Amino acid sequence: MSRPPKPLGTRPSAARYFIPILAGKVVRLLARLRGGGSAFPGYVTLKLAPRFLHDITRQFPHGNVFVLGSNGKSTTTHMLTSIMRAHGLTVFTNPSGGNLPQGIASSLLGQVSLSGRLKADIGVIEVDEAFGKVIAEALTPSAAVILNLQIDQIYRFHEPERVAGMFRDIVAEVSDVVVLNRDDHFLRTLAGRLEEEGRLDLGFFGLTDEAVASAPHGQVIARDYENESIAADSVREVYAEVQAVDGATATIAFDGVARSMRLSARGLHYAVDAAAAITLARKVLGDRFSLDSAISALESAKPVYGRGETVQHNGQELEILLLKNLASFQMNVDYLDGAPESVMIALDEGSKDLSWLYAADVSKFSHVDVVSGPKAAFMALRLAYDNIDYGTVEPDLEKALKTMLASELPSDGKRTLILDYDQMILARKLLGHSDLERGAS
Amino acid sequence: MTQLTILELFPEHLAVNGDMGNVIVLRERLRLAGIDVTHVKHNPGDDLPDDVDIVTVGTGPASALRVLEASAQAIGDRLRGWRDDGVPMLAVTAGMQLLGSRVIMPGGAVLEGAGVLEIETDASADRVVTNCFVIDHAELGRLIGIENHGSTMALTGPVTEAFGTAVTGRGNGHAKHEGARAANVIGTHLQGPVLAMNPVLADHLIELACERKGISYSQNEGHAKLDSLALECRRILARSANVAVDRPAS
Repeated sequence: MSRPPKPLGTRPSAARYFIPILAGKVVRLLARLRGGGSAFPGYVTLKLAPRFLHDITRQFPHGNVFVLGSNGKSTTTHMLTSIMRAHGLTVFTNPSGGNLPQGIASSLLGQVSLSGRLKADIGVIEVDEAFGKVIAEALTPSAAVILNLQIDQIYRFHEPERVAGMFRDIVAEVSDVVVLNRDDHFLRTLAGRLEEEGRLDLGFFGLTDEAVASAPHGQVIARDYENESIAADSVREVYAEVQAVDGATATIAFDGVARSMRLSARGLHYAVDAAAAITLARKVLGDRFSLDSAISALESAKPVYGRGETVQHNGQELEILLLKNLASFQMNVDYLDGAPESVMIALDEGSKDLSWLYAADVSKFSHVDVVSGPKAAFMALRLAYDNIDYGTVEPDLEKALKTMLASELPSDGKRTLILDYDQMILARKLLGHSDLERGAS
Repeated sequence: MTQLTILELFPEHLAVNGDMGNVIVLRERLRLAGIDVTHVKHNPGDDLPDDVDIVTVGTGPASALRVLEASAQAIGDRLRGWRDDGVPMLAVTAGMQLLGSRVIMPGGAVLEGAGVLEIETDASADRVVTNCFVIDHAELGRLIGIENHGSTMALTGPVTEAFGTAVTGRGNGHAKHEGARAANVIGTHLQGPVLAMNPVLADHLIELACERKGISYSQNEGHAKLDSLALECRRILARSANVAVDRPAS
């Protein structure tokens, strides 16, 4: 799997990259001084040097590894990075949210020297489906893991078949290894194609039937209607199989031997991400792979920004859950410890089509204290149609947070904030924790 | 308690965009009015109930239409019978196409529908996504939701007319027509889901059903609370597209 480092002659020449990198770094510095990170520096550099992504990342001896899927990309990227570091590798990775070409370029700008040198052994890259092919052409990944195909951002992705096509196109650019969720319907179909093609080294992770049955709504995956009769009878061997989840403790069998581990957040989806990360790490690291190192890396990994993370704010414990689509909302809600006593939900303009709220089972909530964000009314209406008290409607997040934090602290001292991406960024800023988010910078 | 039966067609295939919400809305509005609901889900191969009061069908991907073709044809006679008896039906996007005469799929294959609405869909058009899809209806006023499909649609028969006029977005793609209506069967590209966003349409379907049953439907403050939230949702979408939330007086 590992390739010999490129001879010096093929490294991007200092002359060719000095100006584009300098320009990008200056823009990046200015953006940071203004108090925000953005993808703009990367955009500038890519304009000046369109092959920047390719030329810089081909220095990595272990190549680039892609993390794809409707949900769990950021968490899995973080897990995979932790595992690689635990094995002594220096990792280049893009922070969550920076999964478009300009975002990845911005991340590179933070670490690359003016002469185009970047000291890393491997790139672990979270990739957006829609831009995956362009990014794959630039970064020529050696390996990829695809976590799931769920109904996601229908205003952008239209139909799950279209996303399956995006995954096929990205995988066509991968040179060596592809790891797939055996128990995802569309990925099962993709696996059949790849097996027929025989070009790639394939690996699988999955879940036992009992693990799926124990989840209130399973994996919330999209159905591949046209291939259901063909795909159902093919059962593949997996390296990592999720057997059970109890809160944040996952039991995963590796080659049939069960191991228990405590992950950074609760729920079946995090256990599946862990199984995926470990399966890919084993493929990529080969003989260097140590399961013990991988598990201890996952046990000490912190949650990704806003994904089941708990922040302390003036003595109050705030758990932040990201609401992105039906699957992420449902699985996060399913694994709450009972009905949350103090809970706020906020929706931004960025959540374009909220129809999916009606596909969600909201019966877990006994009540919601505050609904907020520019689209607060959509959440209030959804809850009202299930006859659940939605509390105060306060579109202004700052006011809503104030109301929430001033209300009586529940007996367990915990509050739950369920936020979509834009409202999460804003909430973190308002709570004074924006320093933890490096965004796409 | 009086009772109505809501029949939801093909929920395993045609509820990809929260369309089950239309049933949630009908049930809750009826419950608030003291009317009990039996909710029957009809998936391929299931038997149909003898008697229904409201029929709903949602939207889904092209692949779902392909696998549902035979199942939709198999219930075509029964559905047309209910249409002729005045049973109110709501069919959204792909569900509307499936209840139509035929769908020309991308690549040219022709799919025969249930023949409840006299419409012919060309499903090879460019995708249109309208985050504030506005249509005007002569009696119901302005309806607002979301449009997301890759089709154009022609009205092909004497009894089927356009449901409304597209103010934004594509609608059927011909003469500002949006959706289709034959007797009390309504087809539309409005999603959101449409009944949650537009309670006036939910109440219209309920009133048609109650009239047939000879029962009365009256709204109370519970409905009013839902309606004010729905109005706020329509306002939010209308504001983003810079259109009026109500139809301008003509």
